[in-house]
Amino acid sequence: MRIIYVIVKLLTLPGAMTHAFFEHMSCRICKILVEDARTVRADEMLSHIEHELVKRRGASFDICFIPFIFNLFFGIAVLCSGSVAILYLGSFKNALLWFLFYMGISLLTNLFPQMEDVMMLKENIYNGKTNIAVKIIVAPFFAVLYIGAQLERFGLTLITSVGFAFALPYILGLFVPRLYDFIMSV
Amino acid sequence: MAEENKSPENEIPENKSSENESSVHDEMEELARIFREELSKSKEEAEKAENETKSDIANGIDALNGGYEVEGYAVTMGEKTNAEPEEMCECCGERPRGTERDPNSPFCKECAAIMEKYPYDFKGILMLIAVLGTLFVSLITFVQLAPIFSNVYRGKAAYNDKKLYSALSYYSEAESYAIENEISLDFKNLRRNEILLFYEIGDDQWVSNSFQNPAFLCALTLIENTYDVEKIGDKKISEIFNNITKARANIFMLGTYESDAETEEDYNRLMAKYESLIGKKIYISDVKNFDSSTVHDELSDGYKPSDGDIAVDYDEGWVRLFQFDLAERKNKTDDMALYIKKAADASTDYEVYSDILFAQFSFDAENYEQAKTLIERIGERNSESVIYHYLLAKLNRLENKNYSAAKEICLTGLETAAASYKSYDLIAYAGSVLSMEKALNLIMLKDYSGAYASAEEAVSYQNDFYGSTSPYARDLFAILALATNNKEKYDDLASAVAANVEENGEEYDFSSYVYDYKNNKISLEEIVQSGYFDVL
Repeated sequence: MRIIYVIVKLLTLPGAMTHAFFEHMSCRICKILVEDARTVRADEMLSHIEHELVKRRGASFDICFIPFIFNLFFGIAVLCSGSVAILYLGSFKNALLWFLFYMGISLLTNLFPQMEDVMMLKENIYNGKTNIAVKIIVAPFFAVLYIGAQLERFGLTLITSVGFAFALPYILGLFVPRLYDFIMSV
Repeated sequence: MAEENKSPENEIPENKSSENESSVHDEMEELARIFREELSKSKEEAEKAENETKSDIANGIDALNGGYEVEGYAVTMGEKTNAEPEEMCECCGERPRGTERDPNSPFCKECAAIMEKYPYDFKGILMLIAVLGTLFVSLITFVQLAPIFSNVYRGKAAYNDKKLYSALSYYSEAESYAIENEISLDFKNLRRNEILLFYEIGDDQWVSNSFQNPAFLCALTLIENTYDVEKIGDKKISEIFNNITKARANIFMLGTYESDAETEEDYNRLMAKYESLIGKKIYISDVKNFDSSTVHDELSDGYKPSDGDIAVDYDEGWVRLFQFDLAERKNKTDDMALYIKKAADASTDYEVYSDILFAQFSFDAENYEQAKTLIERIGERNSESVIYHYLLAKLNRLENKNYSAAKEICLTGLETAAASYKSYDLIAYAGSVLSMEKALNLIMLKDYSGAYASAEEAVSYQNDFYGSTSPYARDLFAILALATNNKEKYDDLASAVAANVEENGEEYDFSSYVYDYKNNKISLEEIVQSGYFDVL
């Protein structure tokens, strides 16, 4: 499984490097000590950086969520044109569109934190000291991050991101035509 | 000590007297005293040495602690005396662990300060710049694609809702935008959607007029331009291609046998000929060029099929429709009923196309039950179809005599066309067909002024759509001008017709119904019921 994981990470290197960068950025924001910040490496730490164990609740959430949300936003924004043009409209012969498609997939494949960070988040949030309201609010985010981290361990996020690429035109279709009409009317 | 007492100096000879024994005793006592004194001296010295050692160790520890005094980490002698040995920083291994924020940190303060500001990996920065550049390019590309995507998305939704004209409108807008903005991407899925759409529309005069071809031929052209027809590789498109090719080959070949069949003998011979074609093969040597040199059947004299030919069967459904058409032209009522039933039983492989023709034939054969089934099928395929609204109104007028319902259906059809299609083309086409039908129903409802207005609309729409007026619309308009005492309008029409007759011949004159009505030989209702104006 580790080999598959590393192969998937290497196949989606741009996204892995970007995730590592955002993880480092969130460490800086949360003043978490970084031990090794290399973004390119051929082991299971590819797409992550080595940092100290996070014992603060907020920092623990941020270190998982900030790279996730940045990669997600960038991934969708980069993927939308490739996905729409290639998968929905069927323009298969344009290299630029394929490049955009690949970049989007690579960003979306590397969304999730490593399992240790998610378990640390669980330990920090779901203990006796945390307010029940916080636990409820964080629950859906935690669920997404936990499931994503589990999938990422087996390299399955590559499949989910390709699946998402197929679904993206239909998601965009819910609001892009209305948005386009609105812009045209203004 | 025992060795010392046995030394030669202290030995006593055995042959001495009791005095000597007493002196020995004294001497022994003296030796014991000396021994006790020496022993106590040794003990004292040992204790003293032990105390000195302990003192030296304690002093040494104090001296060591004093050498590591660091700012913020000063430890008093008294505190250190009982503390456990200190753990060192995991990073440098020289300074004790712990920071101000986290005393249990495995790192020292200096290392923690450095690690908090650990520099970003240069490769990561470069990748972020690349991603940002890609993001920018992607957004620009998406802004260009958004209008095309929006129209195709809506077109697909309309297609799924069986609103085929709306779908065609959206696809046309997407195509126009791509051409205007010189977006030369080859949108294969858009082509595929258009092929499915044209295939579903089948044939409609509106499409024929707008695209210079029936819809199914538009689909065929798109297939030929988008796919390699020898190996299409798409099951659905392949099926469509086969069905269109088969329908086209059937219509073409059956058309070659068509004749006036003036005598009864000719009629019977032609009917038998059509019958004999069922089960025979048609060969197409060049699917892109459909003419008598490329399409042959088994009965064609001297034609030998080659390996590259596409072979299709004669479709019984098409044969029966051609037989019906011949029977209708020869006014053979029994045969009409027979062949319309046979056509219904056989059906064609391309019902979308044949149903419109078949429904009209069913009206001609006064088989309203069959017409109703076919109309429902046409409506299910395309709820916006002008033909569907026209045939449904006609069914209500002819079978149910429900003229109000028929008029409402015409209005619905006109509203649907206005709402669903952004181009004036469909509105004009819908107006030219449905306004005529509406006028006929208004006549039956005795609303002659309404019927006049409706006929005027039909004439206007026909001029817009075809560039001329059909003789049927013109004649109905003239009759209604007379019915509403609009003499001026009738005179205008009559003078235009007279000029046309003078220029082009008698066939451009008014029909006899106009003159008969003018001479009070026929009523308006009788004219409607004659079926003369029941044409598309």
